[in-house]
Amino acid sequence: MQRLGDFRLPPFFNYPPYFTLQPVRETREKQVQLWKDLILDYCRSQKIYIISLEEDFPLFSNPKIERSLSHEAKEVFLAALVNEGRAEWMDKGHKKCLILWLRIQDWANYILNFVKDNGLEDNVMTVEEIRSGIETRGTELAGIDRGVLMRALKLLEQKGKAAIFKGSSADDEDAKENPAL
Amino acid sequence: MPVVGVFAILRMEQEAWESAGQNLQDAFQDLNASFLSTTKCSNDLIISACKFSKAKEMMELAEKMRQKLLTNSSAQSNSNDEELGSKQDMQDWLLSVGIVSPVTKETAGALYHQQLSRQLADYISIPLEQAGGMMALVDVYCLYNRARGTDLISPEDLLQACSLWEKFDVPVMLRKFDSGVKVIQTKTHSDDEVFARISSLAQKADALKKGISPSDAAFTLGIAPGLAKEHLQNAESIGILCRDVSPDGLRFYINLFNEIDPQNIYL
Repeated sequence: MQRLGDFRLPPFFNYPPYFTLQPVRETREKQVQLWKDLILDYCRSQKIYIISLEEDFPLFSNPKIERSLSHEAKEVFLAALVNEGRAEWMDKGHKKCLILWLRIQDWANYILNFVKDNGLEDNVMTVEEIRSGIETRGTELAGIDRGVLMRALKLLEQKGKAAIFKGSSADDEDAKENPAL
Repeated sequence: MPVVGVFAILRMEQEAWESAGQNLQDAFQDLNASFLSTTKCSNDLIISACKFSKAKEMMELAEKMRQKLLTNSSAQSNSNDEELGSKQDMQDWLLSVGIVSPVTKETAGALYHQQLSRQLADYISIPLEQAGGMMALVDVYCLYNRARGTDLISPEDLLQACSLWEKFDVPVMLRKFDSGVKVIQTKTHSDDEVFARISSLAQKADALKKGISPSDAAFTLGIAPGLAKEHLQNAESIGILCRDVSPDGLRFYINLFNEIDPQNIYL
């Protein structure tokens, strides 16, 4: 089994046509589906939030069979994720893509469950504590992209399930979760 | 000592062939002479007079031989390889001898394209069968003009003649691929058969690993590389194959995308 770091690659990763954008519609749909799933799985396992099209991304090339995705192919596969709400372009030039292996809504629910499971209701946590604190270690929240976390928290705030306190400096923001409300 | 038995028959055959060959040689010489006279004088009457003297005999002879050959090949199905080889040579040779009375603008007048169309359909059916039911229009053009020998037709005339086939009840048809390549094929020619062959070709151990290039397919299917590429692309468009573009060029693989289960990608 071929691996990329500790990520197990599927057998079709060695199938050369997988790396060529297929011109026939039905074949391409299937190919795009396989790429979407693989990108999400890989990003989730490696905790990757941002894919830059300008830089080498390990998943987009296979040195073993000497194939790699063209720029157009990368854009097509990522655009398919964007269409499904599983990714967002971070700039107009489509150079960077934010991968949401959990949607913002799912992140919000995940935070709520995390708070409930750990009895942290009515507690105040700083954003940095959520991202790299002891409590979140070993959960999906560890190392979460700051932008994604803030959007999830804002969603919770809108629903009245959390409150964000602004500190005096930019990186001093506190979040208080209150799932009971 | 009188010659009897099988040997006698063989010798009679031999003599018959030799005299036929002599006739043909004479005829060719006559033709050569007629070409020479063409260059010297521009009088049409003289040319046609020359042509009709022995050329017609020769054509008749060739036609007779062809008929004989055809009946022979159908009568003896258990002939050995050598005979088959010489028959093949004979066929090729007869094809190059050409057409008994080519349709020309002078003989057909306003019906030129119509008659050309019919003659072309008659003529092309045999080489078409030999080529596996499909030929590129370019090859047809060369072959047909070679058979005519003189009074060559223009590509436009050929195209017009081919497009008239739709109106007639002929066993051949003009076909245009999506890429714009034009071919002629027999009406009974089916793509399914070609697809089946391509599919089995693409599933050989070597092809599974490295894919097939248009020239591989051309080699195996015995057709022109341009035509083979069309077949491969057709097979791709119905999902039998998929492509791989790499620095090595365009190659085709058997389409495995539909075999992969998205729920269990590690199978």
